[in-house]
Parts: sequence; C-alpha cells; structure tokens
Amino acid sequence: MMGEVVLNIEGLVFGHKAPLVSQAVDISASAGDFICLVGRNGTGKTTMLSTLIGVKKPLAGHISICGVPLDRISAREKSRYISFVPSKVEAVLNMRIRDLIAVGRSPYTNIFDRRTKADEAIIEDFIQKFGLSDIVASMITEVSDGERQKAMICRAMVQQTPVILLDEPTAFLDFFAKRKLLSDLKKIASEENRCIIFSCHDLEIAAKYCSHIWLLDDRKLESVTVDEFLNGGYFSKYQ
Amino acid sequence: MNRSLSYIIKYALIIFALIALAILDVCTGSNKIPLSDIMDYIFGSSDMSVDYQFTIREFRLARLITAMIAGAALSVSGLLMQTIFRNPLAGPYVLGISNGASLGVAVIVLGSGMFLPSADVSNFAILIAAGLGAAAVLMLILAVSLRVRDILSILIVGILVSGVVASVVNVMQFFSNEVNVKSYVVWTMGSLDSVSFNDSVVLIPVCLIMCAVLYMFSKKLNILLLGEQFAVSMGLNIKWLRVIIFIGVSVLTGAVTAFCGPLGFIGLAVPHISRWIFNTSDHFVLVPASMILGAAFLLCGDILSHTLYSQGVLPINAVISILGAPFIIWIVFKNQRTVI
Repeated sequence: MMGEVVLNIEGLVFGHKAPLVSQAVDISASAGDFICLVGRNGTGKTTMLSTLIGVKKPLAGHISICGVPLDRISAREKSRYISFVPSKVEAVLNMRIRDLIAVGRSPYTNIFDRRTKADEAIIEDFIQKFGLSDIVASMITEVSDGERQKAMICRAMVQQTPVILLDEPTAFLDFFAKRKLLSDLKKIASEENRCIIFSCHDLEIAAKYCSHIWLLDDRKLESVTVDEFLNGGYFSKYQ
Repeated sequence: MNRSLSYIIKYALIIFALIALAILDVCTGSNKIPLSDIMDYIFGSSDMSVDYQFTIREFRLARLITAMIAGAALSVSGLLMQTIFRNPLAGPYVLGISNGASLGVAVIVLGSGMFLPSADVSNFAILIAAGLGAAAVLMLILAVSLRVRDILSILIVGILVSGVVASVVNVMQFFSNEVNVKSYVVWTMGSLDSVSFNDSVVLIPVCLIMCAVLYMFSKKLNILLLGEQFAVSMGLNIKWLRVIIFIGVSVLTGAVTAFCGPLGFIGLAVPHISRWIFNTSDHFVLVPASMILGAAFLLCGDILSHTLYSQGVLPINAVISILGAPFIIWIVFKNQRTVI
C-alpha cells in the first residue's frame, strides 16, 4: 500500500561550503513511510537533516512538502510541515513533560502561546496514545533518557506535521529500548499516516523495522529497499 | 486548572510581600517614620505631619521606585541571559555591558582627575558616560553575535571584554589620584540614594517598556530552552532573537548601572528563586515573577542597608551579596537534582 508523496526533493545539493554529494539528490517519500537514513560518519547525514529542517540552506535544489515548496514559506509556517526530534533532549530546569509536549502546538498558537480547547484535546489524545499519562506531571530532569525521548516524539506528533525527522533517536537507548522505540515509530508511521525519517547507526535493528533505506554513500544518496541494502554489498565493502 | 490557581496564589503572596516591603522601605532611612503613621495615612484615617510628607516625597519615593525598578530590570535581564546562554550561571553582566558602563564612569571620574585637580563630576555626566560605555560594549557584542553562530563563543567574548575593560579601569585607577579613586570605588558599591525623583521618571518608562517588549518573546524563549537546533526547526530565527534580547538586556542593565552603579548578585539569584517558587520554566510566568521578586529582593537589601548600621548607609552591593548568598546556596542544595 502506497500513500501519497509528501516529501519531494529535487536537485538538492547540501554541504557546508563544499557540497557533500557529487550528484544532486532527487528523492521522495510518501505518507506512511518509515525511512532509515544510513551513512558512515562524515558522509553528511546530519547535514542532510539540518538542510531539511532549515538550519542549513541548501547549496542548490528544492524541497517541497505536500506540494508546498519550503523556500517559499516562512520559517514559522515550515514548522507546520516538518518536525524534528534531536538525538538528545536538553535537561531543562523545572520543565514538566507536559510543557515539553505542549510545545508541539506552538506553530499554531498566538504570540502569548494561548492554546485552544482543540489544542489541549490533541495534546491529551497523544499523551494517552503514547502511554505517558503517568509521567506528564514529572520534571524533564526526573525521567529517563528513553522517556524523555518518547515525550519528544509525542511532541512531534502533537505538532501534526506530515513529515517527522529524528536525528539518531536510538543513540542513548539500551538494546531493548531501541527495538521498542523503532517498532513504536513504525506503528505510528502507518497508523497515523506520517512520513518518518530517522538517521541511525544500529543497522541490524533499523533494517528490521524500516520500510526503506536512504543510503548515503560514495557522495550520493539513493533510496533502496531493505533487501537491496542487506544484499547490496554495503557491509562487505567496508569490512 | 489547579496549576494556574497555584500560580495565582503564589503571585498574590509575592505581591503582598512586595507591598509590605515597600511600606517598610518608606519608613526606613536616616529620619525614621513610624509605621503606624504611614498605615494611618494610607487608610486615610489621619493626616501625616508635613515634615514626614516632605521626606517621603523628596527622598523616599524616588529611592523606593528606583529600588523596585532596578531589582525588576536586573532580574529579568538575568533570566533572559540564563535562557539565551542556556547556562544557569549567566547573569545580566556576562555580556560585559555593566563593565562598559563602569569604563564610561571611570573615564569621566578618574580621567578628569588626571587633568583637573578636583573631581567634581555631575550626576548627569556620570549617566551619559555610563550610557555611552554600555552602548559601546553592546555594539561589539552585537557585531560578534551576528557573525558567530556558537553561543559559547559569544559568552567567551563577553567574559573577555569584561576582563579587558576591568583591566583598563585598573590602569586608570593606578594613574589617578586618591580622591577620584575613592569616588569611583564608592560608585561601584552601588547606591539607590543618588537617584532623584526626576531621574526615576526616566528610569520607569524605559525599564517597564523594555520588560514588556521582552515579555512578548516568552514563547520563543520557551522553545529555545529545548535546544538551538530544535528551536530553528520550530521556525525561530536564533540570530535575531539573540540580537533583540541582547539589546533589551543592555538597555535594562545599562540604565540601571548608570543610575545605581553595578548592582551585583540580583540578576543571577532572582531567576533561580523564581524558578524555585513557581517550579516552572515557562517565561510567561517567570518574567513577571522575576520582576516582582527582584523588586522585593532589592527592597530587602535597601531596608537592611539602612537599618544594620545606625551611623549611615551600608553599600547596597555588599549587603545584598552577604545576605543573599547563603539563601541561594540553600536553594541550590534543596534543588540539587535540577541544577545542571
């Protein structure tokens, strides 16, 4: 089953000053896709993600989400199309888990961050879905890395963007927590019909859950199926 | 929601404390006014003596307003700096703004002594000099923050600028005469008494408008707490946010320093007290809370500096540090888990 194309990247060249890819990237992703961005250290995974969320300007090319070109809309509007989960959530002083999750509604609220009843309902709904009711009143600093991560992902869902990017979401989790997280994310992608893209170094676990792999290698980015990735000689190449 | 109810109760309590301290502050001074007289006057049951009325109108009111505004302005500045630098040790002075103001004052107070025999510098000249010094450092910091992305680099530049400016002042002290050095040192001890009612008329609108403007950025600051990369993904323009906050904080600390000297400690401590009392990181709550608590804190300092020593007024800076530090240490210990 294929969802509609939500993320469309055309002729994208990214990098700091020098391009990190020798071949412009043309790639797209659909609603319901659960994509793992794979690449060795220094190939530009983080730069690629930074370019998608707008921290870095693309050296060339266009990114559009649901047919809306990102370079034509304001930074604030962009946060209604794409949300981002950093690999490590800051341990903010005196912030509650619920406050963290509520930040997801800020692209829709006014300057005083007044949330409507509808906003609150969305927040409550996802808190239930993520099973976070027990810890919403806790301080961020009181819960484990895994729970904080989960709250941050819940926040991304509350933001209701068609595309969600996660930078190495498994980096600080133990083996079982990693598997749990990825299977949860996979479920979210299909049930909520979102396009989730994450970077990851745990290739065996990632390959087990994701629907596609975006392989960043030899200065080019290509979309491969999990089978193609496992049998394509990527592993033997670097051994 | 019971959380907003608890905020309302806490706000009511600290506002009540502030009012009580304000009344107490009006009573204290070289010429003591009995509390009962003031209470009677407030509730309109009797007239106060003309003598007292004159004292209050000419001296106490200006001092009271200055203390409250300065405390509020420095506390808000400290809160915002802690958020922007994402460092609980940051305060209104990390950018070196007040050192800039000090340099301005040093140039005029100490410099005049190098060429003129006596140091008779007017209050107005000190104000202008402090303002110019603060503005000069602000320009430097803005130039750096528009070029440099890394917030730690900006922090390092700020600290280095403070250091350099302080050293320049040291050299000037070395070459200056005793009288001028003494009057400069006295200025650095801080004072709430040198502000006249006319001066405070300038200070009030500047500080209140600035605090109101900065309050408008609470939503952005709340997002920034979760990290810069994340904030950008939420549509924040970090560079401009920094520039605006730096300008606001500089105006606040520059104005307060110009009028009262470099008042230490409050800007660092009060944001922590607010977080501790309100148990939140929400700037919509913390900005007004810091203003009220900062005002109350400086009033405490002012009252104590006038009452601890019967022969005169102790330097306010010393009083707030000596009495405030143990309190903060206690909070840090109580709050250990959440202090990074």
